[in-house]
Amino acid sequence: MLNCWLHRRNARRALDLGLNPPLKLQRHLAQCPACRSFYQTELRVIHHLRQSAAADRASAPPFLETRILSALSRSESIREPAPVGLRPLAFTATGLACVLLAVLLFLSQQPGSHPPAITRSGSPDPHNPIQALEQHWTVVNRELWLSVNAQWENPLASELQLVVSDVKTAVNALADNFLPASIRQNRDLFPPNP
Amino acid sequence: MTTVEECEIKSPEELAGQCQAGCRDAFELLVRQYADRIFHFILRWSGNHADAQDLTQETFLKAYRSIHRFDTTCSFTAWIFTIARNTAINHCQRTPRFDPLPEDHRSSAPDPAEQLEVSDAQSSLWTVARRLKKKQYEALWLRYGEDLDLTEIARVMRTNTLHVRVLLHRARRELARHLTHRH
Repeated sequence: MLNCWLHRRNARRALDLGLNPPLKLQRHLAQCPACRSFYQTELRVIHHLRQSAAADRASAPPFLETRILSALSRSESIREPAPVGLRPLAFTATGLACVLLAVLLFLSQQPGSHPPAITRSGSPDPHNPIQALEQHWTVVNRELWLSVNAQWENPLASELQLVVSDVKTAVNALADNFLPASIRQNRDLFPPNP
Repeated sequence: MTTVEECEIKSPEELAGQCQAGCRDAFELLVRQYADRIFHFILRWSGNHADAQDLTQETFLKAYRSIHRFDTTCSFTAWIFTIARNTAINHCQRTPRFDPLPEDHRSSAPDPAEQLEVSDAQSSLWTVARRLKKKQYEALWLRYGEDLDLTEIARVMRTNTLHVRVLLHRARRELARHLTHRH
């Protein structure tokens, strides 16, 4: 009895894996009619299931593949203009840049935030960081550099002014979009340059 | 770029690999290979043709969007069937009622040959199998209807091979009982 139980277990295992019964099992099946009947019934069930599986399938609509492929094309064409993975990164970078520039602008507009004028006369003040820096770094031919700069209408200064006005516009736009109307009070945070 | 002729002789896993490399034709071939099978599988969950078509389309769209996450050393069949099963389960959870697959879900056209086939199927074991427990029936269909191996079935059903074997044994035992009663 225990022998039969073990052999049936092996028989099920072989059937599950789709293998031929091992020799031991084959010998037992030849001797034991109950196990042989069990094994043959299982085989018949599996054979029947495999045979009738195709007949049991519903007829799939003929345009199903076409429908899927056109849906794929549509979804691709929607996604193509901007790569989705980069979008959050770009937003984050733009936001951070705006915040950084706004902070810099705010600090630059504070009274007394400008560095003290550098006095050339006398010994350098050890507590003034700019003078301390000048000890190690001297501008070669400073007068020439200043005259060229004046001839080119101060490109650095005008560029900085452009950056500042861009930042003001960006911050105003952000405030328009995200700040509640009660705080904004229908006016720009940074009025444009006169 | 790989041509369609080259794609056709490749395994589903190789095709998926090509799709990961940007070959759209490879995915089209996968759709052609699997659309029917996925449709039949989902039909067993959803119970009606219109929903099964929508869910099949949704399955392939999901697969296309996440093809880069597919591990080409694993079975593509198990992967796509898992997506199909999850899509069908989500659908069943969204919809308030679940329609079991009707006894005769196949025919809409009264073709005599088809009617004959239907009457034959009435006596087929699959008709009996539909009355089994849902999981037993699902394991049975994946094994003998879709020819997936035990590991693949375990992946699709999110269980282990031992449980799949238990489900199959119980299902076969019920069907064997039916066969012996009939004869």
